[in-house]
Amino acid sequence: MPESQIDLIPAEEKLQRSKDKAKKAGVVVTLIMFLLVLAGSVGISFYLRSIDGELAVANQNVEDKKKRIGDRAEIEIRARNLDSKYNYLTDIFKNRLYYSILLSELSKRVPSNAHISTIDSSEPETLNLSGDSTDYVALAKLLNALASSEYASPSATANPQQNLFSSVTINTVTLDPNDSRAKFNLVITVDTERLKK
Amino acid sequence: MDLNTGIKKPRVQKAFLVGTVFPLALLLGTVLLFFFVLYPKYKELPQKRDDIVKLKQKADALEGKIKKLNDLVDFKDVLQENSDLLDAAMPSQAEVPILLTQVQLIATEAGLNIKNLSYSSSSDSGEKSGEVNVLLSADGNFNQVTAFISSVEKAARLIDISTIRLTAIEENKTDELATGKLEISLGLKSPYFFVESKATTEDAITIDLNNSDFAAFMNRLKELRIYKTTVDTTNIGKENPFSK
Repeated sequence: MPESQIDLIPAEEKLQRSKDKAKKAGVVVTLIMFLLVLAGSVGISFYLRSIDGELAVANQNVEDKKKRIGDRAEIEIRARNLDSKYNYLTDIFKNRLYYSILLSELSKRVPSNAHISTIDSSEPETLNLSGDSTDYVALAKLLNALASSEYASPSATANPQQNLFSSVTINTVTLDPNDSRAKFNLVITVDTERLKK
Repeated sequence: MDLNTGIKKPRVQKAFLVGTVFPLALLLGTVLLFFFVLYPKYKELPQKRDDIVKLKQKADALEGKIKKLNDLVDFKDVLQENSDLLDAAMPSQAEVPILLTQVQLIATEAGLNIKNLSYSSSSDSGEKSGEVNVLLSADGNFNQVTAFISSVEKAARLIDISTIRLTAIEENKTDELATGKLEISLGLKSPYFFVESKATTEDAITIDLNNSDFAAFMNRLKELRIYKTTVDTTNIGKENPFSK
């Protein structure tokens, strides 16, 4: 028969021992946690210090460069002035209308038996034209010539299908009883894109 | 038969300190270290890394700017020449008398007979820019008007035609449009632009003197005719300002 052990430890004592073990384990765990956090804190502090050092060097580098740029402030201002004016002028030149094209294109389209007495343009897109012609056929000739891109010079339009005068409208036409000439007033719509270079 | 005699003596205060106070203190220390040291410093990290990256990028950009400025110093004369061309095309101020002189000169050269040349207004489109409006009334023929307008378009100081009115004066049915006398009324406008830049170290300089568009534009300006008018400082001061 196996030798039996008689456990004389009271239940309270057993419980107390378990509690002690748990406490010991708790101490170890908290100690490990503390050490880990401490190590992490120390490590990150050193790392941050090295980053701060890098930052200081980078800052110094930037300041040195700024100083070097500051020494050339005069040339920078001149360059910036040039840049501003250049940008402003390129915009203006892009949208500039060359009325010499308009007059040149117009004169090419007036038939010999028609006469222009007034050219008026207060808006770039509209041209008022008044005059007279020997007869209605001469007026028709003028209208056809104005509406056609056939007479356009190469400088006025890159595309032969596009005409400087996009539309021609007769405002008034009257036959003068004194000389039997057709007096007309036309409103011409100008494609201002064709006046740009 | 063994008797279990492992009955411990009653726990003293030391055991309480080691078993309870010490771990609690450690826990408290851990929490404090975590929330007051580790976590705040950890949070700083990305920002600082980002700062370094930004500073390095800034240093690179500034280095590029230094290089550009050095290039501009080397091409100082070209820069000045281009600035002069732009100033001729677009003065910093209205300079009305000089503009009127230029228009008068061009009109005379074109053969127009000036009846009236007047400055009507200046319109400020902003703090720095504006337009000078001039009205020209003259007599001449169609060829002379065309020559005038062509010269205006080729003049260095930018002048645009805003309104145009040509009226035949005489019966020129036989002469046609080219030779008949015309009454000419032209509205002219000339822009000006005042620039006062500042040296801002951190902004890049965008102008590129070697850029083909820039070079082409400058060549275009070089082809324009500069009408030079010198305003000297001689003969200034008069005893009687009303005397002619």
